[in-house]
Amino acid sequence: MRSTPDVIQRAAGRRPKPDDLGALGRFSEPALAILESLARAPKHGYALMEDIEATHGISLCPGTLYGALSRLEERGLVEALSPVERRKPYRLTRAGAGALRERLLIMRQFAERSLRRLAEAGA
Amino acid sequence: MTPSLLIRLYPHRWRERYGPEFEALLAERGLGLRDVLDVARAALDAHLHPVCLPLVCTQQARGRSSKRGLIGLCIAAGLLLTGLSVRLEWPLSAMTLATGFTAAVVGANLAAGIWLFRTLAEIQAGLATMAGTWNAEKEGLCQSQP
Repeated sequence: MRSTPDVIQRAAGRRPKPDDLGALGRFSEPALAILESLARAPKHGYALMEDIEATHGISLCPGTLYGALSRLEERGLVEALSPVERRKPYRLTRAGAGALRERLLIMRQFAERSLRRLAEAGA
Repeated sequence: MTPSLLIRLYPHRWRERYGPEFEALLAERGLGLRDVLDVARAALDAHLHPVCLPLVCTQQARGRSSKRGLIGLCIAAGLLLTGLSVRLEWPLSAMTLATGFTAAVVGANLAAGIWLFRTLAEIQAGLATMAGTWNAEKEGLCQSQP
């Protein structure tokens, strides 16, 4: 089954690239939330969970968080900073900022097109 | 279930990279049933789709790729010799067939052996941790009894 961002991307008329967030499967939505949270400031895992819940109301479980985080790090979209005790903060890389911007633009395009069609249908 | 026990569900390489910070997060958050199930699912996913980070796995990948290369070469050479034996005259064809077949079988066995060894090592490490935790809990219970 395709993930929601992948469907959005196809609906927006674009094919997902191999290093795109849509290629992360069930981790693509948590990955988007992580990138958005890190765009504001570097954070460690627990702070990320709290920030995402406070900002978006999404309660990420630890396994899902680190599943997404490890994939983002593997793709060079986030990077780890020096550890503070056992915690390791992460920050957004330039590639991560680019991937986030691209994803948000695709989502905006999808939303605008869908709203237009909805208005045309008179719903 | 304790954080250290849950972390044992992950592959060794994943634990090397994320183990301490993940354990700190689990300890800080406190674990509910939903978290335990989520971690178990994510650990299974980490086994099925291992991530490769440059700092963690460069040396391991180098060692693994040389082993895989050697095994692959062995199997490829074996299959090539086996195929070549059809075009040769007796007794050279029999010798080539035997050599090729042996090389392919040895290569395949090595690949299967390495996979089996790594899987057993993971299972043994997991069981050892579970046994240690169980013993510690049992001793704790016994000590608390009058």
